[in-house]
Amino acid sequence: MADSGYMVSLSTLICKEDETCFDVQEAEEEEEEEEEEEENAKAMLCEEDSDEYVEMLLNRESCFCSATPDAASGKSVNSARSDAVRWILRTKALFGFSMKTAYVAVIYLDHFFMHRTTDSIKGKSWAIRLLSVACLSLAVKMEERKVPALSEFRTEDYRFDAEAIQRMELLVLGTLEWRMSMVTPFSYLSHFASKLQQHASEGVLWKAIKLVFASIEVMNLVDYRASVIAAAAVLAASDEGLTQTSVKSKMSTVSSCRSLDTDHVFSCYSLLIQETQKEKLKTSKGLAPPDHSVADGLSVDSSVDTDGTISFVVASSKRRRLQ
Amino acid sequence: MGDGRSGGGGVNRPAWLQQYDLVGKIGEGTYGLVFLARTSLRKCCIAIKKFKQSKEGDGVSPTAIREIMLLRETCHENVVKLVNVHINHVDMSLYLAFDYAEYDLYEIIRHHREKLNHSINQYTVKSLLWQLLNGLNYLHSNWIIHRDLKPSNILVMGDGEEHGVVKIADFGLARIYQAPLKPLYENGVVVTIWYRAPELLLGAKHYTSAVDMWAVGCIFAELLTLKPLFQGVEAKATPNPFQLDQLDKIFKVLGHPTPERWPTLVNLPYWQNDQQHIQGHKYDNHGLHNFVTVPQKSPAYDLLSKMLEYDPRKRITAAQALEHEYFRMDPLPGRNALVPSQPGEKIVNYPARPVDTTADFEGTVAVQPSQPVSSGNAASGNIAAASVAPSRSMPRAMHVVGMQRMPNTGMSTFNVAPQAGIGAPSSGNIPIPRGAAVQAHQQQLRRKDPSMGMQNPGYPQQKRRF
Repeated sequence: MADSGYMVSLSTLICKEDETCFDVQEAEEEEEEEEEEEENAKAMLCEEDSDEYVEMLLNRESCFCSATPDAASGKSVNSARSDAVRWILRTKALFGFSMKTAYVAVIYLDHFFMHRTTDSIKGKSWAIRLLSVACLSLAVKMEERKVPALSEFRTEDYRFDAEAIQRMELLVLGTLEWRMSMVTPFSYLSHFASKLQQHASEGVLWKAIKLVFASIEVMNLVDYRASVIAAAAVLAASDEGLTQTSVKSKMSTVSSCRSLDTDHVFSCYSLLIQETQKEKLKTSKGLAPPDHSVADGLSVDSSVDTDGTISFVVASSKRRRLQ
Repeated sequence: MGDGRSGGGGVNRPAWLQQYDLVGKIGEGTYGLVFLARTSLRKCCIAIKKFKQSKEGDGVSPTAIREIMLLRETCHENVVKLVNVHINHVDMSLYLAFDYAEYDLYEIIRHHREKLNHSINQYTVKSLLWQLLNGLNYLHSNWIIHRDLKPSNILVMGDGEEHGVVKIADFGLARIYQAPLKPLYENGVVVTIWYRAPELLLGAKHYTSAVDMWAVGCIFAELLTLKPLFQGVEAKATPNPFQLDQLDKIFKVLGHPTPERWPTLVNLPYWQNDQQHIQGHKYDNHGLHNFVTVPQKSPAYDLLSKMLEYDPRKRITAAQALEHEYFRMDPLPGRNALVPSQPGEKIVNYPARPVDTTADFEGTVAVQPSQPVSSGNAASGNIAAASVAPSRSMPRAMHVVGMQRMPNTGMSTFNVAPQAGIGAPSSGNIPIPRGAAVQAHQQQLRRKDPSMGMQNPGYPQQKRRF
């Protein structure tokens, strides 16, 4: 691979250009976007916050989660995941998908990682990218009114044909055993906010949503139950200085929160606070988000074997980037 | 494809099908094809639904994902049971394997109307209705709306341990709803128009579980009279045209809706803009009692009119309907809806589902199903799978990997059975209710014995107590 160095550096350059473009665009539209996002987020919040409905959600949730924070946290922080999450968030913004869609896509991603060893895709950034595309595409099919054709999901670094994406979709569906209906923290926010706070306001809800998304890159969504994340986000949105004891006492006052593990809530709360502080630091220093991994353009074909192993064949190692 | 397997035509059957003996094609719809097969090992009958390939470049179809997801989350005696999901990796098509049900309400009603010329006995009507409501109550408790209930989607098990048990099938249009009042993101046509609720016909965008109850009311009337209650002629122009004729049929029977009886009526788009002058049209000589054969003062009539309540907010719910007086009086509903109600009464032998044995598994033989299609019924021929099996056992998981003479097939089997909630009855354990299922599970426990209706639901006796 004599030319690989050249290819990589070229791609890096191109991608940097892309990112700069993104940043400029983002800066220009940031305010507008924020408003739009807030509107969008309100739609995502569940109007239904009856105890009965929350009870039903809690029950459903308990059937999904088996991982404990400690068991999975080692795997959770890896660059492959961060890269995938960043791509999902970027693409969400590009298409104007809802925040819930992006969140659900990340849940799929984390469930996939939980069920499968990442060895088969470790170090293969194209495989991670393909997985990100499949997770987002599935989330869009579950959540969005309009579903774009698979070919519209462009990635900066690879080109996947529709068949490769569909195979990955099937692998994800099979791995998740087709249980694609996910409970998200957003369904709980209104309910918890009204119970955990004396003065519940929409501002708090929006802040809670932002806290969750600020941490999504480092927080593995199978580590915490959706209800735990929701409770932690509501608490973090209203008070940044809570101790384990104060979290515990606040939780004990709400009947629907009693089933939640307060240690988990506090651990998640701390994570949310820590990530926002990092974020604040970053923005105040004007740092751009870290560069994502790049490689030369590959056309990737894939197949999923019956035993679930993924085999991908790189059909052509060189293809000119078209844009 | 880069996986080293060459693509295959429609000649070879997928390798996983070797665990089944194909009998033939039993149905065809917009979703795809349904086949009847027997498991090679246990000779259980299985209905296999093959999803039509999604449009090139769209990936796995959203309809398939939603239907499978919903079926994965449901476990109830009166809801069709998904046994397996198979993926044919050659063309990435999806096959769903269900327990096979020999009958459906469409065929049962037709048999009485066209062959027997007499009504369905009251015990059978009541048992079918009770079980339909029982299944629907479970779905609604789990925040699932079916949205396409019609006689051909209500299956009834043939001979075997579950003989005469109702199974709600075809979840292609079903949705989990987030909250009762939230709009479901859906624009296409929903629900065969004869069973479509008036609020939908008038342009309501918000679906509630009440749309299913309207359909149940229509089905109840059809069970009593053997003919569809509101046989509107479907307008087929734009994607979702205004169905004036269907509304006209309803108003002729139930009278004109009024804002007094139905306050939110005035907010419904088609009522509001009144382009077809539906507001001013006069309907007289109405009255449900002129169209159904039950006495106006009877509990059956009372229940039916509560299901056909115009205002979806006032319409009876499945849970309320199950508690209705109609089900507490003789004859009491039972688990086997098809047994004679009185000793000595003649057993009705319903015709078995016609099977087109000439069709191969790919459905490439373009032969019409031998099933007669009765005129004007949009529901005919739209059979959706499911049911019977002399024992409740199901095929084991088989990971059939590209077999000898099937070099082109790489099928993977996803066996649903061992997953909690969908129920692994062979284990003898009470299936862990799948998340949302808990509420309904509890409701069910009140009604049934604690084995939760899997192996021994024991509900005829228990139920007969009320």
